[in-house]
Amino acid sequence: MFLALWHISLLQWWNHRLRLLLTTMGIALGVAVFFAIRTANVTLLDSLRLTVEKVAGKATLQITAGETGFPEEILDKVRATPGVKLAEPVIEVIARTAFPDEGNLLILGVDTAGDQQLRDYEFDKSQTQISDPLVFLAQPNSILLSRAFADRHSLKIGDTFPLYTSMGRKDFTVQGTFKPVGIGEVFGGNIAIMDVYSAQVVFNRGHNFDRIDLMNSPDVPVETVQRNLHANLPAGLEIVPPQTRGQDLESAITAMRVGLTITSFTALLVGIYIIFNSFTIAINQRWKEIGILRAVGVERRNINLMFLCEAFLMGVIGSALGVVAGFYLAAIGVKVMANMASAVYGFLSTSTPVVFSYKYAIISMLLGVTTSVVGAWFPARAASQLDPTRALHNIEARNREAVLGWRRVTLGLVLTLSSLALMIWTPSGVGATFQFSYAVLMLLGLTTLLPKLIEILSHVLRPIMDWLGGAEGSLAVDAMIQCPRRSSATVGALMVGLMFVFSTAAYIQSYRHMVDRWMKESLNADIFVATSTTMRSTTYHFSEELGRQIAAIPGVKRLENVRFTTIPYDGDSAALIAIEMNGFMARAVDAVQGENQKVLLDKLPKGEGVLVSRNFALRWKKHVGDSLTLNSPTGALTRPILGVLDDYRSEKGTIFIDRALYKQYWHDSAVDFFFLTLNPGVDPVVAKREVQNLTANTIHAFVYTQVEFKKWVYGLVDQFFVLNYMQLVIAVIVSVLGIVNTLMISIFERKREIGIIRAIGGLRVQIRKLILLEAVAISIVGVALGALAGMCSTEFNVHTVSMVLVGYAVPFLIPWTLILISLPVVIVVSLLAGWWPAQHASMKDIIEAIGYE
Amino acid sequence: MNNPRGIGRTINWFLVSTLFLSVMFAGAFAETDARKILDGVYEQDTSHDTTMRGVFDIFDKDGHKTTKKFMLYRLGSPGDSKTIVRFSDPPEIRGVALLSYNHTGDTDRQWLYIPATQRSRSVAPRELSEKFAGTDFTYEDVEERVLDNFHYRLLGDSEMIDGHKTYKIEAVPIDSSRSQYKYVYYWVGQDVPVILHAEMYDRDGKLVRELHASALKKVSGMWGARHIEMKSVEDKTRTVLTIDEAKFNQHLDEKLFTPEDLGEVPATKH
Repeated sequence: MFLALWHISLLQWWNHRLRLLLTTMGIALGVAVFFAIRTANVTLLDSLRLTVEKVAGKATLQITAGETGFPEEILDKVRATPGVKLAEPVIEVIARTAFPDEGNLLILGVDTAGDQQLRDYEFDKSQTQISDPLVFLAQPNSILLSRAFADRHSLKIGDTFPLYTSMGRKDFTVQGTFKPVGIGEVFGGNIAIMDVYSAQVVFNRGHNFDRIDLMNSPDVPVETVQRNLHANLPAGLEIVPPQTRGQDLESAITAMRVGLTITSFTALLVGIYIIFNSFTIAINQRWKEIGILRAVGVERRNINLMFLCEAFLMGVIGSALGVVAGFYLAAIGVKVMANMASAVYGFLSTSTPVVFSYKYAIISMLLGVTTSVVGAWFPARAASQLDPTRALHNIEARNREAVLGWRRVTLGLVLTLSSLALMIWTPSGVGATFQFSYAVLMLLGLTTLLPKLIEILSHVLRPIMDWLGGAEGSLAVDAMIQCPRRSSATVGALMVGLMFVFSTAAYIQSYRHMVDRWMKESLNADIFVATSTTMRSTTYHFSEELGRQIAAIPGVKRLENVRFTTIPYDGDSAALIAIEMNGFMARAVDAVQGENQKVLLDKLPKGEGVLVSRNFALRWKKHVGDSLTLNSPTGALTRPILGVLDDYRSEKGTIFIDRALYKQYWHDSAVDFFFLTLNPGVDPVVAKREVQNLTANTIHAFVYTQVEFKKWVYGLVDQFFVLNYMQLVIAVIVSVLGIVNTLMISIFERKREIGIIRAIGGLRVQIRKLILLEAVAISIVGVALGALAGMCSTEFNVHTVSMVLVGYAVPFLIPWTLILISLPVVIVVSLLAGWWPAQHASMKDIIEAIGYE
Repeated sequence: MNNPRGIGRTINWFLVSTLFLSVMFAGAFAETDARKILDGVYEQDTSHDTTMRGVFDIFDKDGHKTTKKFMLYRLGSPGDSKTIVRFSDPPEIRGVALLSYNHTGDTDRQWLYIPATQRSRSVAPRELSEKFAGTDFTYEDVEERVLDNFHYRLLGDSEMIDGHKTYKIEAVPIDSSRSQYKYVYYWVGQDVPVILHAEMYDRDGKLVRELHASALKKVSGMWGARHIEMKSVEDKTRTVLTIDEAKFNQHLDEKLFTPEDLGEVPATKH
């Protein structure tokens, strides 16, 4: 029996090769994206960890204080701690080279004497001069290069090459090279070493170190040394093994990883929909065949099994193809993600080849097969429950009521409304992956409601189509009303594809609106001066002296020195902005909610209170009036929260304190931004040029007027939304696949109907017009439902993804422009997709068409 | 006692025991001698402070020479002293100064002053085998020798070096972790308490460095070599240290032997 059914399946596949191909491609697409993202994610995290571990060398513990660094006096305390065998200071920067074809160079500032016991670098002994450590220490522009970098640029000992430092473009002298082993492998060989104290000068670190790497004495366990250090050092320092720092990196890029997870599950969801769609159509086409099988005694169970086996095999083939495609996609994915990690988070990674993970391949295959079987489940079940007598009737005699009945409608409403309710009222502690199931629930609900919605919209559309296309127009809409199951498949594919397109566009639009408001309320200086083209740079900082020079430019009313860094907070991290509160409050007091203005203006500049961002308050359950304790490298700092404001610089939340207070506790006078307020009537473009002239010979500064700054921030936002754009591409591909797939199939399915129309006198041109108008009607209904589904999905993005996961209050905006533009586009695509089948159907022999079953 | 065999036996016993005791204590006596000899080398320095002007001529394996000039200031006596080495040439290292605090029983503490940064920085304890300032002298070779850290044995007293009859002494570190060498041979002049030659052997017993001192001079009652050559056997490099001038008891200002004032040139106290 099974073999016989299998033979029937194979025959069907052969006869409908195109549908098989398109369905399999749908699964392959979903699996490819899932596998590519998983593999790229793991590869990136591995490379981040590898970088941390290779740079850490033999260090068993590392001491940091977020990005701010800490006073160098800490080093003596560390060395004096019982159990510490060796402790070496480190300054780690990513410096821009001035080579046109070379990007960044990782520079480790170390004490080369002791550091060689910690890190694995083998110096080349091939040089003819005797290496002179005194010259290396005495000249701050001395540098040791990895051989890979030196060879790439034909640099020998004694040669100079240019780098951008905090003091502008400087030439550095090569004093030696080291082999591409151990640390020489990091960052693709783009690594160099210089003296740590020279690095302090050149990269404006003052008297701070970024990190201390240490080794414990062999007879004292690491945990004991860790405890001793905690007892000896201020609380604001983190003392962790290098592997933990690697895990911290993983946690820091959570928002990016959540976005990736959502994208990968989206792709699978789309795959499920394609399978469901395809099997629904297939079963529609094969009802007669199913009726015959049932009539000759094949049990329901075996009918069900037949379709599920087909789905299983399609899943296996599609998944295998998807895994292969995903592996190659992963290489692109890693590049994209590494660039994002660098641009948005400032992390560097060592490029590692993408490794084929059998574990993830098996998981992807299982998911692909499961997707396929799940997608085919309900259609297969429906097929197995088909009444043989009814199935053997005319193909149009369907159980129409089942799909439009009140049971199905009620179920659809319950599912949809529950998903919306869950989205709105779920507490923030619920995991991201679980919350993603709300989107699945919503899609399930809308799919269940689809036939009813199509019926309703078709009734609304009928008079319009009648006016547009005459009798053919009415017939086209009637065909949708009379065969809701067939129409559902096509409209459903359109709805899902457009849902992603609209919701992605809506989310990006909402995010930009949010950024607009933020910039108007608190990022409203006239001129911005930055050290980097990314959101922040851990390498380049300005000095207050430069700030004083800029403030002296005629036309500058006020200058604010801004430090933007991250600090450890409560086992995690938070962003910290140190800014002159006098200036900040003068222009942004309206952005703050909390204490009254008089209190804010009085206390904040004195350092008697702090502000926090709204997402910080949500994340850490803090309110105005609560006490906030920050552990600095010199001791604990406790202040009340005086106000809350919207800030979108960090998904971890941001703390705002007065700059003088920050310098007092962190001993850090570095500056990341200058915010300038100009006197009334001063042209910002002229002022910008003055600043550029002033900084031209000192440091590589990026100067923006407010308009330009906004554009720059949008550019950074777009970088962050690279993943969403990827989702958009997937959605467009799905939409096109869905339209082509289902239109062609549904048109073939109506061959008999078309034959009858021809037999009663319908002209070929009328047949073509009928088919094409049905395509138009399907498009219009698809766009309308896609917009509806898009709004539900936008609510998911805005509420669950933004508010719950990240804490950002993104407004809910509908992309009307895109919806209106998409209508003619979708109509054109549908017409193109329907043209050949319409042509083919209209040319069919009438007798053959009537006889089609 | 009237038993001749008994007397003979007694005499034999006396002779054997004397011989045995001589052999047993010869080593100790030799060690005492060896130690005393080396004591003599270091104890002759009774100065309160020392000022020296010197030059390192460093030759690579191809014979190319680089030169480093320096001033050395030392305050205190061996075992309890503070030393500054300040380089004056070549220009790349002019003004670089190294300050060391040496106290018997404690780990040496060091600071380095770099003129370009105008700062002193503490220097981690160096690997003993690390070369000092790019010369063939290692940190162990230039630091103050703590005689108590070694066992000494007199190996001979007849070899001639540069016309001087010498004692050949073997020094073996008591704690191997405190020295890079397995043993060192010294040739000390019998007529002048100066180490005229030395051979350093690594932990595998391989000869790694040779030192040769010449141009002996007596200043303020103290003998010293004005020309010291150190050869690295395997690398085929050598460094010649020439002391151009040495003065003692110049009343150097103690306040300048601090990390904070390392940028200042020590002056005499008046």
